[in-house]
Amino acid sequence: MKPRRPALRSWLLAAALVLLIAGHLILGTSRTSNSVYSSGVGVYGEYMNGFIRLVFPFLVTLVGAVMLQDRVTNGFVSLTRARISVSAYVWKLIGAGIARNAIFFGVLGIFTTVFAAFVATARQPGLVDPRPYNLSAGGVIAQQAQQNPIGGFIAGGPLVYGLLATLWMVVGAAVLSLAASASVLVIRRRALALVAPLIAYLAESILVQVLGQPAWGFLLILPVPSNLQRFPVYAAAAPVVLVALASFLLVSYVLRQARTSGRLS
Amino acid sequence: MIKRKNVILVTLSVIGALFAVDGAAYADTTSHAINDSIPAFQQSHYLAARSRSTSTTPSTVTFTSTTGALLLNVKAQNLQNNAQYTELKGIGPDSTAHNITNKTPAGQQSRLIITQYDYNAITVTAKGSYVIN
Repeated sequence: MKPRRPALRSWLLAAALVLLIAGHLILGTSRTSNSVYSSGVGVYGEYMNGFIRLVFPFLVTLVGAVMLQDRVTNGFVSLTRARISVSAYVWKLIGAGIARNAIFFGVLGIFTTVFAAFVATARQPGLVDPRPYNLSAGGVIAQQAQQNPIGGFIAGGPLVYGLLATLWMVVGAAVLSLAASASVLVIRRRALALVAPLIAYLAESILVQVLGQPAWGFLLILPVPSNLQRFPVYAAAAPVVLVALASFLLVSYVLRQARTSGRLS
Repeated sequence: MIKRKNVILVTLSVIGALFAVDGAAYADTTSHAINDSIPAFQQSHYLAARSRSTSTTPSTVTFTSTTGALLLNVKAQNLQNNAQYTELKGIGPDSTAHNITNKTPAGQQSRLIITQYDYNAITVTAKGSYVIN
Protein backbone atom coordinates (compact mmCIF):
# COMPACT_ATOMS: atom_id res chain seq x y z
CA MET A 1 0.00 0.00 0.00
CA LYS A 2 1.36 3.39 -0.95
CA PRO A 3 1.62 5.56 2.19
CA ARG A 4 -0.57 8.66 2.20
CA ARG A 5 1.25 11.94 2.06
CA PRO A 6 1.84 13.48 5.50
CA ALA A 7 -0.80 16.07 6.34
CA LEU A 8 1.90 18.68 7.06
CA ARG A 9 5.50 18.80 5.91
CA SER A 10 7.80 19.48 8.84
CA TRP A 11 9.71 22.45 7.34
CA LEU A 12 6.39 24.07 6.40
CA LEU A 13 5.13 23.57 9.95
CA ALA A 14 8.35 25.02 11.42
CA ALA A 15 8.16 28.11 9.17
CA ALA A 16 4.49 28.60 10.04
CA LEU A 17 5.27 28.38 13.77
CA VAL A 18 8.05 30.99 13.54
CA LEU A 19 5.69 33.36 11.68
CA LEU A 20 3.04 32.65 14.29
CA ILE A 21 5.31 33.63 17.20
CA ALA A 22 6.28 36.84 15.35
CA GLY A 23 2.61 37.67 14.68
CA HIS A 24 1.71 36.91 18.29
CA LEU A 25 4.37 39.34 19.58
CA ILE A 26 3.54 42.14 17.10
CA LEU A 27 -0.22 41.95 17.68
CA GLY A 28 0.28 41.69 21.44
CA THR A 29 2.49 44.79 21.52
CA SER A 30 -0.04 46.73 19.45
CA ARG A 31 -2.86 45.73 21.84
CA THR A 32 -1.01 47.34 24.77
CA SER A 33 -1.10 50.74 23.00
CA ASN A 34 -2.96 53.49 24.79
CA SER A 35 -3.65 51.29 27.82
CA VAL A 36 -2.77 51.22 31.49
CA TYR A 37 -2.50 48.08 33.64
CA SER A 38 -2.36 47.69 37.39
CA SER A 39 0.58 45.23 37.18
CA GLY A 40 2.77 43.15 34.89
CA VAL A 41 0.21 40.34 35.14
CA GLY A 42 -2.14 42.38 32.99
CA VAL A 43 0.53 43.12 30.37
CA TYR A 44 1.46 39.44 30.00
CA GLY A 45 -2.25 38.56 29.93
CA GLU A 46 -2.84 41.09 27.14
CA TYR A 47 -0.27 39.37 24.93
CA MET A 48 -2.14 36.11 25.54
CA ASN A 49 -5.56 37.65 24.90
CA GLY A 50 -5.30 37.26 21.12
CA PHE A 51 -5.76 34.42 18.66
CA ILE A 52 -3.50 32.20 20.77
CA ARG A 53 -6.17 31.97 23.49
CA LEU A 54 -8.90 31.05 21.00
CA VAL A 55 -7.01 28.39 18.99
CA PHE A 56 -4.62 27.08 21.66
CA PRO A 57 -5.79 23.42 21.50
CA PHE A 58 -5.68 23.43 17.69
CA LEU A 59 -2.06 24.65 17.71
CA VAL A 60 -1.20 21.99 20.27
CA THR A 61 -2.81 19.36 18.02
CA LEU A 62 -0.87 20.52 14.95
CA VAL A 63 2.43 20.50 16.80
CA GLY A 64 1.87 17.35 18.84
CA ALA A 65 -0.56 14.92 17.26
CA VAL A 66 -0.32 15.18 13.45
CA MET A 67 2.73 12.90 13.33
CA LEU A 68 0.97 10.23 15.40
CA GLN A 69 -2.04 10.47 13.11
CA ASP A 70 0.16 10.05 10.02
CA ARG A 71 1.77 6.93 11.49
CA VAL A 72 -1.56 5.40 12.46
CA THR A 73 -3.39 6.09 9.18
CA ASN A 74 -0.39 5.01 7.07
CA GLY A 75 -0.34 1.66 8.81
CA PHE A 76 3.12 2.22 10.35
CA VAL A 77 1.85 1.05 13.70
CA SER A 78 0.53 -2.24 12.40
CA LEU A 79 3.75 -2.76 10.39
CA THR A 80 6.01 -2.34 13.43
CA ARG A 81 3.97 -4.40 15.86
CA ALA A 82 5.82 -7.59 14.92
CA ARG A 83 9.05 -6.05 16.22
CA ILE A 84 8.07 -3.83 19.17
CA SER A 85 4.92 -3.60 21.25
CA VAL A 86 2.24 -1.24 19.94
CA SER A 87 1.93 0.30 23.36
CA ALA A 88 5.64 1.23 23.60
CA TYR A 89 5.66 2.59 20.04
CA VAL A 90 2.54 4.74 20.41
CA TRP A 91 3.54 6.07 23.84
CA LYS A 92 6.89 7.07 22.33
CA LEU A 93 5.13 9.02 19.58
CA ILE A 94 2.82 10.68 22.13
CA GLY A 95 5.85 11.59 24.26
CA ALA A 96 7.57 13.12 21.22
CA GLY A 97 4.46 15.23 20.55
CA ILE A 98 4.40 16.44 24.15
CA ALA A 99 8.11 17.31 23.97
CA ARG A 100 7.63 19.31 20.75
CA ASN A 101 4.75 21.21 22.35
CA ALA A 102 6.83 21.93 25.44
CA ILE A 103 9.62 23.36 23.27
CA PHE A 104 7.30 25.43 21.07
CA PHE A 105 5.22 26.93 23.88
CA GLY A 106 8.32 27.32 26.08
CA VAL A 107 9.94 29.46 23.37
CA LEU A 108 6.71 31.40 22.79
CA GLY A 109 6.31 32.01 26.54
CA ILE A 110 9.89 33.18 27.05
CA PHE A 111 9.61 35.64 24.13
CA THR A 112 6.29 36.87 25.54
CA THR A 113 7.88 37.30 28.98
CA VAL A 114 10.69 39.42 27.55
CA PHE A 115 8.31 41.51 25.44
CA ALA A 116 5.81 42.05 28.27
CA ALA A 117 8.49 42.85 30.86
CA PHE A 118 10.79 45.05 28.77
CA VAL A 119 9.67 45.90 25.22
CA ALA A 120 6.08 46.99 25.90
CA THR A 121 7.06 49.05 28.96
CA ALA A 122 9.99 50.68 27.17
CA ARG A 123 7.76 51.56 24.21
CA GLN A 124 5.14 53.12 26.44
CA PRO A 125 6.27 54.54 29.80
CA GLY A 126 3.45 54.53 32.34
CA LEU A 127 2.02 51.29 30.93
CA VAL A 128 1.97 49.76 34.41
CA ASP A 129 0.48 52.16 36.95
CA PRO A 130 -1.62 51.11 39.96
CA ARG A 131 -2.71 54.70 40.75
CA PRO A 132 -5.73 54.96 38.40
CA TYR A 133 -6.95 51.72 40.00
CA ASN A 134 -6.80 53.40 43.42
CA LEU A 135 -4.33 50.76 44.59
CA SER A 136 -1.01 50.92 46.40
CA ALA A 137 1.95 48.79 45.25
CA GLY A 138 1.17 46.27 48.01
CA GLY A 139 -2.56 46.40 47.23
CA VAL A 140 -1.86 45.39 43.62
CA ILE A 141 -0.08 42.21 44.72
CA ALA A 142 -2.90 41.31 47.11
CA GLN A 143 -5.46 41.91 44.36
CA GLN A 144 -3.56 39.90 41.75
CA ALA A 145 -3.21 37.00 44.19
CA GLN A 146 -7.00 37.00 44.44
CA GLN A 147 -7.70 37.53 40.73
CA ASN A 148 -5.26 35.03 39.25
CA PRO A 149 -4.06 31.65 40.64
CA ILE A 150 -0.42 32.54 39.95
CA GLY A 151 -0.84 36.33 40.10
CA GLY A 152 0.65 36.64 43.59
CA PHE A 153 4.07 35.81 42.12
CA ILE A 154 4.14 39.27 40.50
CA ALA A 155 5.67 40.24 43.86
CA GLY A 156 8.91 38.77 42.44
CA GLY A 157 8.72 41.04 39.38
CA PRO A 158 7.39 40.62 35.83
CA LEU A 159 10.24 38.25 34.87
CA VAL A 160 9.42 35.77 37.66
CA TYR A 161 5.70 35.94 36.90
CA GLY A 162 6.31 35.58 33.14
CA LEU A 163 8.45 32.47 33.56
CA LEU A 164 5.89 30.93 35.90
CA ALA A 165 3.09 31.71 33.42
CA THR A 166 5.22 30.09 30.70
CA LEU A 167 5.54 26.97 32.87
CA TRP A 168 1.74 26.95 33.33
CA MET A 169 1.29 27.19 29.56
CA VAL A 170 3.79 24.37 28.89
CA VAL A 171 2.00 22.06 31.36
CA GLY A 172 -1.35 22.96 29.77
CA ALA A 173 0.04 22.28 26.28
CA ALA A 174 1.40 18.90 27.44
CA VAL A 175 -2.01 17.89 28.80
CA LEU A 176 -3.83 19.02 25.65
CA SER A 177 -1.23 17.23 23.52
CA LEU A 178 -2.11 13.99 25.32
CA ALA A 179 -5.81 14.74 24.77
CA ALA A 180 -5.20 15.42 21.06
CA SER A 181 -3.31 12.10 20.80
CA ALA A 182 -6.29 10.34 22.33
CA SER A 183 -8.51 12.11 19.81
CA VAL A 184 -6.51 10.91 16.77
CA LEU A 185 -6.41 7.36 18.15
CA VAL A 186 -10.17 7.24 18.71
CA ILE A 187 -11.59 9.28 15.81
CA ARG A 188 -11.07 7.81 12.34
CA ARG A 189 -11.85 10.86 10.20
CA ARG A 190 -8.61 12.85 9.97
CA ALA A 191 -10.02 16.39 9.87
CA LEU A 192 -12.55 15.70 12.60
CA ALA A 193 -9.89 14.16 14.86
CA LEU A 194 -7.74 17.30 14.49
CA VAL A 195 -10.48 19.82 15.34
CA ALA A 196 -12.23 17.74 18.03
CA PRO A 197 -10.02 19.10 20.88
CA LEU A 198 -10.73 22.70 19.80
CA ILE A 199 -14.48 22.07 19.62
CA ALA A 200 -14.51 20.40 23.06
CA TYR A 201 -12.42 23.26 24.54
CA LEU A 202 -14.74 26.00 23.24
CA ALA A 203 -17.93 24.06 24.04
CA GLU A 204 -16.84 23.47 27.65
CA SER A 205 -15.96 27.17 28.06
CA ILE A 206 -19.29 28.36 26.66
CA LEU A 207 -21.19 25.90 28.85
CA VAL A 208 -19.57 27.00 32.14
CA GLN A 209 -19.90 30.68 31.14
CA VAL A 210 -23.62 30.28 30.50
CA LEU A 211 -23.85 28.58 33.90
CA GLY A 212 -22.19 31.69 35.40
CA GLN A 213 -18.95 29.95 36.49
CA PRO A 214 -16.37 31.19 33.94
CA ALA A 215 -13.47 30.22 36.23
CA TRP A 216 -13.99 26.55 35.30
CA GLY A 217 -13.71 27.23 31.54
CA PHE A 218 -10.59 26.44 29.52
CA LEU A 219 -10.76 29.79 27.71
CA LEU A 220 -9.85 31.57 30.97
CA ILE A 221 -7.54 28.84 32.34
CA LEU A 222 -5.31 28.28 29.28
CA PRO A 223 -2.84 29.22 27.89
CA VAL A 224 -2.34 31.34 31.02
CA PRO A 225 -4.97 32.05 33.67
CA SER A 226 -6.82 35.22 32.80
CA ASN A 227 -7.89 37.57 35.55
CA LEU A 228 -11.25 37.23 37.27
CA GLN A 229 -12.37 39.06 40.39
CA ARG A 230 -12.09 35.75 42.29
CA PHE A 231 -10.09 32.99 40.62
CA PRO A 232 -9.24 30.15 43.04
CA VAL A 233 -6.44 27.69 42.20
CA TYR A 234 -8.72 24.63 42.40
CA ALA A 235 -11.06 26.01 39.72
CA ALA A 236 -8.11 26.66 37.41
CA ALA A 237 -6.41 23.30 38.03
CA ALA A 238 -9.37 20.89 38.22
CA PRO A 239 -10.42 20.87 34.52
CA VAL A 240 -6.79 20.44 33.40
CA VAL A 241 -6.22 17.53 35.82
CA LEU A 242 -9.51 15.91 34.75
CA VAL A 243 -8.59 16.13 31.05
CA ALA A 244 -5.14 14.68 31.78
CA LEU A 245 -6.64 11.70 33.66
CA ALA A 246 -9.40 11.06 31.12
CA SER A 247 -6.97 11.24 28.17
CA PHE A 248 -4.49 8.91 29.88
CA LEU A 249 -7.22 6.35 30.60
CA LEU A 250 -8.58 6.62 27.04
CA VAL A 251 -5.16 6.09 25.42
CA SER A 252 -4.43 3.18 27.78
CA TYR A 253 -7.78 1.58 26.95
CA VAL A 254 -7.27 1.97 23.17
CA LEU A 255 -3.78 0.46 23.39
CA ARG A 256 -5.06 -2.43 25.52
CA GLN A 257 -7.61 -3.16 22.78
CA ALA A 258 -4.98 -2.73 20.04
CA ARG A 259 -4.98 -6.44 19.15
CA THR A 260 -8.60 -6.24 17.90
CA SER A 261 -8.32 -2.73 16.40
CA GLY A 262 -8.36 -2.49 12.63
CA ARG A 263 -5.98 0.48 12.63
CA LEU A 264 -3.39 -0.69 15.14
CA SER A 265 -2.95 -4.30 14.12
CA MET B 1 -35.09 94.91 3.27
CA ILE B 2 -35.06 92.28 6.04
CA LYS B 3 -37.62 92.86 8.75
CA ARG B 4 -36.27 93.43 12.24
CA LYS B 5 -38.75 90.82 13.60
CA ASN B 6 -37.35 88.12 11.29
CA VAL B 7 -33.76 88.91 12.29
CA ILE B 8 -34.65 88.51 15.98
CA LEU B 9 -36.56 85.27 15.31
CA VAL B 10 -33.73 83.73 13.30
CA THR B 11 -31.15 84.77 15.91
CA LEU B 12 -33.21 83.27 18.72
CA SER B 13 -33.81 80.00 16.89
CA VAL B 14 -30.11 79.68 16.00
CA ILE B 15 -29.18 80.18 19.68
CA GLY B 16 -31.88 77.66 20.70
CA ALA B 17 -30.58 75.13 18.18
CA LEU B 18 -27.03 75.55 19.43
CA PHE B 19 -28.13 74.91 23.01
CA ALA B 20 -30.11 71.85 21.95
CA VAL B 21 -27.17 70.40 19.98
CA ASP B 22 -24.80 71.02 22.87
CA GLY B 23 -27.00 68.82 25.04
CA ALA B 24 -27.54 71.50 27.68
CA ALA B 25 -24.39 73.36 28.54
CA TYR B 26 -24.14 72.36 32.16
CA ALA B 27 -21.43 70.30 33.82
CA ASP B 28 -22.60 66.88 34.84
CA THR B 29 -20.93 66.02 38.13
CA THR B 30 -23.52 63.59 39.45
CA SER B 31 -23.09 59.85 39.73
CA HIS B 32 -25.07 57.80 37.21
CA ALA B 33 -26.01 54.18 37.72
CA ILE B 34 -24.74 51.44 35.41
CA ASN B 35 -27.00 48.42 34.95
CA ASP B 36 -26.10 47.38 31.44
CA SER B 37 -25.35 44.40 29.25
CA ILE B 38 -21.78 44.29 27.94
CA PRO B 39 -21.75 42.28 24.69
CA ALA B 40 -19.72 39.11 24.10
CA PHE B 41 -16.39 38.87 22.23
CA GLN B 42 -15.09 42.28 23.37
CA GLN B 43 -17.69 44.31 21.45
CA SER B 44 -18.06 47.89 22.71
CA HIS B 45 -20.84 49.11 24.95
CA TYR B 46 -21.36 52.90 25.09
CA LEU B 47 -22.68 54.77 28.09
CA ALA B 48 -24.78 57.91 27.52
CA ALA B 49 -22.82 61.05 26.54
CA ARG B 50 -22.47 63.76 29.20
CA SER B 51 -21.14 67.31 29.33
CA ARG B 52 -17.69 68.01 30.71
CA SER B 53 -16.89 70.86 33.11
CA THR B 54 -13.07 70.69 33.04
CA SER B 55 -10.49 69.06 30.81
CA THR B 56 -8.30 67.72 33.60
CA THR B 57 -10.59 65.80 35.99
CA PRO B 58 -10.61 62.08 35.25
CA SER B 59 -13.92 60.28 34.95
CA THR B 60 -14.48 57.56 37.53
CA VAL B 61 -16.18 54.20 37.24
CA THR B 62 -17.12 51.70 39.96
CA PHE B 63 -18.44 48.19 39.46
CA THR B 64 -20.28 46.41 42.26
CA SER B 65 -21.12 43.23 40.37
CA THR B 66 -20.53 41.58 36.98
CA THR B 67 -21.74 38.22 35.67
CA GLY B 68 -19.36 35.50 36.87
CA ALA B 69 -17.13 38.25 38.39
CA LEU B 70 -15.61 38.82 34.94
CA LEU B 71 -13.33 41.83 34.45
CA LEU B 72 -14.00 44.80 32.16
CA ASN B 73 -12.03 47.47 30.26
CA VAL B 74 -13.14 51.11 30.32
CA LYS B 75 -12.01 54.15 28.32
CA ALA B 76 -13.33 57.67 27.70
CA GLN B 77 -14.10 59.24 24.34
CA ASN B 78 -14.41 62.87 23.27
CA LEU B 79 -17.46 63.08 21.01
CA GLN B 80 -16.30 66.36 19.40
CA ASN B 81 -13.29 64.82 17.65
CA ASN B 82 -13.83 61.13 18.50
CA ALA B 83 -10.47 61.00 20.33
CA GLN B 84 -10.14 58.10 22.76
CA TYR B 85 -8.00 58.27 25.88
CA THR B 86 -5.93 55.74 27.81
CA GLU B 87 -7.91 52.58 28.54
CA LEU B 88 -7.98 50.97 31.99
CA LYS B 89 -7.84 47.21 31.51
CA GLY B 90 -9.05 44.57 33.91
CA ILE B 91 -11.46 46.37 36.25
CA GLY B 92 -13.24 43.98 38.59
CA PRO B 93 -16.45 44.33 40.63
CA ASP B 94 -14.45 45.46 43.68
CA SER B 95 -16.67 48.47 44.55
CA THR B 96 -13.62 50.74 44.16
CA ALA B 97 -13.67 53.95 42.10
CA HIS B 98 -11.22 53.75 39.18
CA ASN B 99 -9.93 56.88 37.48
CA ILE B 100 -10.43 56.91 33.72
CA THR B 101 -8.26 59.46 31.88
CA ASN B 102 -10.58 61.96 30.17
CA LYS B 103 -9.11 65.01 28.42
CA THR B 104 -12.35 66.16 26.80
CA PRO B 105 -12.42 69.99 27.19
CA ALA B 106 -15.04 71.75 29.26
CA GLY B 107 -18.39 72.14 27.55
CA GLN B 108 -17.91 69.25 25.15
CA GLN B 109 -19.65 65.92 25.23
CA SER B 110 -17.88 62.79 26.44
CA ARG B 111 -18.86 59.18 26.97
CA LEU B 112 -17.40 56.03 28.49
CA ILE B 113 -16.87 52.84 26.46
CA ILE B 114 -16.94 49.45 28.20
CA THR B 115 -15.70 46.15 26.78
CA GLN B 116 -15.06 42.75 28.31
CA TYR B 117 -11.45 41.97 29.24
CA ASP B 118 -11.53 38.52 27.57
CA TYR B 119 -13.05 36.90 24.49
CA ASN B 120 -16.03 35.54 26.40
CA ALA B 121 -18.98 33.95 24.67
CA ILE B 122 -21.56 35.46 27.01
CA THR B 123 -23.11 38.87 27.59
CA VAL B 124 -22.05 40.29 30.95
CA THR B 125 -24.47 42.25 33.11
CA ALA B 126 -22.47 44.98 34.85
CA LYS B 127 -23.80 46.97 37.80
CA GLY B 128 -22.20 50.01 39.35
CA SER B 129 -21.93 53.73 38.76
CA TYR B 130 -19.89 56.35 36.93
CA VAL B 131 -19.16 60.07 37.08
CA ILE B 132 -18.13 61.86 33.89
CA ASN B 133 -16.47 64.81 35.69
